[in-house]
Amino acid sequence: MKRFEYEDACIKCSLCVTACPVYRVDQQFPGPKALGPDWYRHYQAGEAKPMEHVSDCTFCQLCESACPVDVPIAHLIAVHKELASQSPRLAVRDYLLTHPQWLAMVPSLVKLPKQLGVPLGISSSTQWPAPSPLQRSRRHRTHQRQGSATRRIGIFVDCFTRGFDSETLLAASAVLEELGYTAVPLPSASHCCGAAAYASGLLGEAERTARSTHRAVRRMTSGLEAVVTLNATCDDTLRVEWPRYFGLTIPVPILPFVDFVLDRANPGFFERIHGLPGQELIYTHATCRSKVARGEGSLFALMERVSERPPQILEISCCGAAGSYAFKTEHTKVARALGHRAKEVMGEPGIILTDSGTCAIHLQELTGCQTIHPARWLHGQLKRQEVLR
Amino acid sequence: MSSKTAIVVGRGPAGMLSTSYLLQRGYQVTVLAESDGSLGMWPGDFSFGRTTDAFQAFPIELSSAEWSQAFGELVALYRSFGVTLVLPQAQDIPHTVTAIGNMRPTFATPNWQYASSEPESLVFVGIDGLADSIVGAQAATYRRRSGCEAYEVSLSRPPGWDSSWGTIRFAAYLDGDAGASWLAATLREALRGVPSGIPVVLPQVIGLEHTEKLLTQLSEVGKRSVSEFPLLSPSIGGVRVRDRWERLLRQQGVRFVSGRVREVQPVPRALLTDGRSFEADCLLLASGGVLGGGMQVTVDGAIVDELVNREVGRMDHLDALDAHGHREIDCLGGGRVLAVGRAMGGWNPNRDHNGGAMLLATVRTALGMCEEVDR
Repeated sequence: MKRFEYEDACIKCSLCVTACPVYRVDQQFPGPKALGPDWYRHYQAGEAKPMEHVSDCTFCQLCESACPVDVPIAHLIAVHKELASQSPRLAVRDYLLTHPQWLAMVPSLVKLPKQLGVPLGISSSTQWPAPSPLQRSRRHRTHQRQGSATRRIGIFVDCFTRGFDSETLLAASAVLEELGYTAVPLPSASHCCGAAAYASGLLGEAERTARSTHRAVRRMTSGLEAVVTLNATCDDTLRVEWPRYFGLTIPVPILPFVDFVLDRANPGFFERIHGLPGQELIYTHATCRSKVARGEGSLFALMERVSERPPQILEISCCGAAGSYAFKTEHTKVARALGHRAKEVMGEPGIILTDSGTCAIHLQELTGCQTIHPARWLHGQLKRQEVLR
Repeated sequence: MSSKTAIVVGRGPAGMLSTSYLLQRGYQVTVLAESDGSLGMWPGDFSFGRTTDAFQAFPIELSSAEWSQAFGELVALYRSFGVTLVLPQAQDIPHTVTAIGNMRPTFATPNWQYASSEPESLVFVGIDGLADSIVGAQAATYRRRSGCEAYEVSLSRPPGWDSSWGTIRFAAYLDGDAGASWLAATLREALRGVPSGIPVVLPQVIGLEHTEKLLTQLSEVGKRSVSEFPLLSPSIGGVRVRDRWERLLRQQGVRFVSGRVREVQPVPRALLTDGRSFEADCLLLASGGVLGGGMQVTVDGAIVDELVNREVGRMDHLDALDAHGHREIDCLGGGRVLAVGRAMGGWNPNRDHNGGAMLLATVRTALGMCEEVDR
């Protein structure tokens, strides 16, 4: 299969450079045009010398999304990363970090002292998530009702949600039930969509991981109306990258949770939540990959309909978390420089909503404000409403 | 919801202008775009052509009162997202200077960019290590074209510079305290010996966020006007306009949807290649594309992909679009699907330097048609 289309179409307009968050804060970063299309031309001419700093790319894909002539810039950079040499020590770390499905099986590993990770090149200053409070064996069955006659919606349980954020899964399931659907968490065992490996340039590993997850997801999709995702990066990976780069398709539509709620909920649902008094100020953060995959404004639109106080947009580009990026020692500085912008643009404290677990812990640490998935906020409001009634 | 809805296809200057004006008229707007628009490739000034002569041939002709109202609205809009646009005082067309020293016509110009109605002596500042900063050739050309004196000074590379520094990197650096002090100090040193009072033009990299503050400080300290001349793509002036404008639109509740439009139906409905579909009361096609490489509607109503010169459809085959007449201009009939900006054929701003007039005239006409259809 030909991997790319339009890989040589670059017209050197440099719009990708204007969209790159890292280029603005890291004075050594050569930028997407140099690392992607420019480098790829040399590579194809047989002069394949990897450039320094190529691994400093966060793989947010904003460059690719800006490109007017469809150059797969970020994916060319991933090929570039694959060829960049990494010390054996960092290679071990990257191999571990690009298999978050393993960590999701033993989330309590994050309770080990951070200093243990330092020799491997794992940042000691980046905040780690806390393992989910619920028992692993129980948490995915809570809302599964077999043989139910209602409309069934799959929820893709990504590594982060599985290992560290089962509250979001429960909340999303509860909200979907409120809307008249039965939520089916899938796959049943811990799997990764492959995004972490792709972002680090481990393309073969990304494809193997995706294929295994695809098998596990596919067999559970019969009878489902759609599969809802809780994380923007997994969403983009499943819906766009799987078919484009690995030829893997899912027979039902894949939709982000927020878009699904915005589209399917009736006005009564919004009004019930909207009427609740005394809500805190809400900031919405559209993650890079959600902008790339679907665009921005749907989370804000949802919050405009349900929040008593007008929501505000967290006016930052990439927060710097970028999956496992912020956990790597050599990226800590850039990740924090990007995330600090959030604190600067917030006029008053509030609660930040975003559909990525790693962005959430990063933003929460750097702003000091609670940062959660929109499903949890909605669920919280529904529960409050029940109490008040 | 009772408010009217609109879809704008494309997020370049025509798309953004349409979006803002639709919001002002009470529409709820969704922008569909598959890539960034051309704002980052354009310095952000609105040109009018080479003359204000009423007989200048535009595909859409407005009266001088209408032009003056259109530019007045534009200035107010720019002010709302924090950019000051300066209109010429007199009847003549002002010019700006280019990176190679030519005098290019402009009209409504952001206050950071050099514009003047009369040729005058200038101090050209080059920055070593900045591509497209070729001060020697620039000053020589300007001398020849303007007949005025052109002084040239060069600033050395900033500390920490390496070959990866493009315009965005320079601008981000100058936005910070270290960069701002470096610029103030080296410029003061470089201007020593240059006769006082002569205006200074710098390459357009003086910050992204603090530009106005930086230029004001430099002007006050040096006791002479300091402004920028535009560079080639990516154009920092356009990036400033784009970033501030998009921020305002987001806060006004505009949804920016990423995706490629596969088909436009007369409902109006836009179908995306990923299967999503959007309906609204009116649809504005602002997908002229970077360098004119997007969709264009030709005078006979054909929709052409300009990049590969392939006909992708015909407006008059989408029935109901022609029901309201207006085929005298290629604005896709007076229906609810209208072309604006470069998507509307018949204009050639590269040749005529009238891109600003094109944007204002096409967007204004399209909005007029939307309102007419609604009545």
